[in-house]
Amino acid sequence: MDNIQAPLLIEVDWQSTLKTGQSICGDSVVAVKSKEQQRYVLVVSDGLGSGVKASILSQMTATMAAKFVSSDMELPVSLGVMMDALPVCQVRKISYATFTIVDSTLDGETRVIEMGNPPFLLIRNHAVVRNDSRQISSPGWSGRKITVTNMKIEPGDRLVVLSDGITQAGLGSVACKLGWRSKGCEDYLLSRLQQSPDLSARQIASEVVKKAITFEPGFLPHDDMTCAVMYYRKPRELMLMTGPPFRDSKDKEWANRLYNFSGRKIVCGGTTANILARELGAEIKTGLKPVGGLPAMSSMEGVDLVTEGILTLTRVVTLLENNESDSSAAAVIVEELKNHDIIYICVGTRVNEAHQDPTLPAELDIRRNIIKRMKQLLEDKYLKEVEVDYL
Amino acid sequence: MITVEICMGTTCFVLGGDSFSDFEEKMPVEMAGKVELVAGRCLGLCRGGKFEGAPYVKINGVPVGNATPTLVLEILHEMLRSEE
Repeated sequence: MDNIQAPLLIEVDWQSTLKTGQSICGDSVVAVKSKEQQRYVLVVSDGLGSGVKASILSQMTATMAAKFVSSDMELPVSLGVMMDALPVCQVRKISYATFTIVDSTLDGETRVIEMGNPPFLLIRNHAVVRNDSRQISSPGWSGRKITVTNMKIEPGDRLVVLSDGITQAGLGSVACKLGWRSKGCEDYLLSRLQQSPDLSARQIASEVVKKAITFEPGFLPHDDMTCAVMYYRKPRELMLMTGPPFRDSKDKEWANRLYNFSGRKIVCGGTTANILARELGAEIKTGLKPVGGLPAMSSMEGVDLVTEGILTLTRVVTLLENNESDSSAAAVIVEELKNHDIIYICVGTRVNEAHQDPTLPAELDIRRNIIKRMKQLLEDKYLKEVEVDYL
Repeated sequence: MITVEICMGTTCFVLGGDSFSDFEEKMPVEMAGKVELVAGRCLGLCRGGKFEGAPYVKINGVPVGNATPTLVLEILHEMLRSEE
């Protein structure tokens, strides 16, 4: 089970908020992970204007940039193709979307290509590190300044990419005439990391956007805001155990596997929890009141979270699919899954015959189907390493 | 003290076990201090084809099938009366 343990991992996450009055974000973020090359490509693009038009420009730019960079296409060529492909704005007669491309491998070799966005921030040991960069030109982007920075990333580094909605937050207001600026964001990040050195990429992105909004008069963003973060660190591991083993004789093995796991532990399923409690000599305490339409969570010594099985896991998949949250135990599991990088799912394959009764609600799906969907979502949408083991 | 253990396993929950969520509030005042409510992760009573009896509760360790708050209250009243 430890064949996918990597010495270093890049956690990639981002947060965006809309310009007030818009219903679609003009900033786009695309992240691509190549397992084979142990390579991550992140693109943040800000489209000209706002709303649908900006969104189309930025999405096209981000998607093309991610594809071209991932396929090692020559930079000037790919930039030219991107420029030619973008639709031209009827108002301004130009086509334009800024971008920041981060191309990074697990050995730390990193290249950042920037055009028009606020400069990226590299935070190392509670300080911002400045790197030498060079400028290149592309026939398709004449007059535009394209900056390329090559550097070596070290474990613990955080690379932060911002859209100008963040750095210009509060611009022109009485309290903050020049806006928050990159410097303001830098100072905020350093101070937050001083207080909480383990902040995840997701937490940082979310906090930066929330903080930027506070500079806007009336807390109403005047532009789309995006903060994307790449955090180079040791992976966080989580084990989710669900379902009793097919053979009773394997119960002990199941329990030992959970007991000996050093990361975060979640158990989903009443019978599973009972088996583990019996084998580990632990007591389960269960809440009586359902929360958010699902059975309440339980507590058990040595396990971080115990929940009901199928209904909760089905809700987990729905929440992951729609990137939503609620008050149920499923939302707590989703939060845990998002906060970890390597997820081991141990699936007991004994079928609960009661669930096969055709009169029961259809959401009592077969455990294996739910887990299959969950694995796919975690890998494709949330860029997690997932290993599923059946017993 | 009478102990009522309510099964919060999946089958019992979807077949009506969730109706016990406000059972404590439904209990009459005279039962206060005489009845203890406990939630169980899965009481294992629906195995072996007995799932038609879900939702289950156990009252002083005795399984009660097709349990509803009304039925359980009736049983509790009966038990308390016979104790008197």
